[in-house]
Amino acid sequence: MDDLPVLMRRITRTTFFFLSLGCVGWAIWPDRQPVFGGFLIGVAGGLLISWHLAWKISMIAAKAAAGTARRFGGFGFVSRAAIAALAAIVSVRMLHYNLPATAAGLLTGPLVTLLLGLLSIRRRSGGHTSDERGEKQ
Amino acid sequence: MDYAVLAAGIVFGLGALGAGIGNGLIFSKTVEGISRQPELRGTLTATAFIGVGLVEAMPIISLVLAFMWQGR
Repeated sequence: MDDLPVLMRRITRTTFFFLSLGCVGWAIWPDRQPVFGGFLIGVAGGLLISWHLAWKISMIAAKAAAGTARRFGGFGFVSRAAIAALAAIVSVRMLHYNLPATAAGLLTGPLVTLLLGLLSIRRRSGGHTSDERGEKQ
Repeated sequence: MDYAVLAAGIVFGLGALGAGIGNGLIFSKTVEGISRQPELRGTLTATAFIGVGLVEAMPIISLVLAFMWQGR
């Protein structure tokens, strides 16, 4: 398993790839602009959510490692939910883009996180999932 | 009464309840692990990031859908 900054760099790079795909679709199919526009706004919102989550987790980990804090405060879920709601409202209500495309864009961040995290675990264990349980001879 | 408002509230409320329980479990174990072994901080934070990202995906999507149902 890689450290969080390494994982975040990979997630950001992969998300930018999806953003570029959305831009290419926007340029190639002008009649599908509501779909690709909603997807672009959703992916941007998902990337913001990932950055906020990484910042919050590193802050909590720093407090836990220092061992001085008795309370860690909130985990920032409401802030991330507000970012998602903002992306949806800007996309659908203001710009009249497609709602399912926006939701799909918001789901891109967690999916990229899952795939890259699993790849990272697999890379570390050399391709054998049993190695994670300490069964390597 | 508009049932769409009720449905939106139930969807987001149950989603946030599940995410709250899941986040609490993940963060409690992460903080416990970091307190026991501070040298594993990088690995534990990355694992927590993956877990929380997945746990929070569903309530965030349910919030978006709830807003849109409520607006119809």
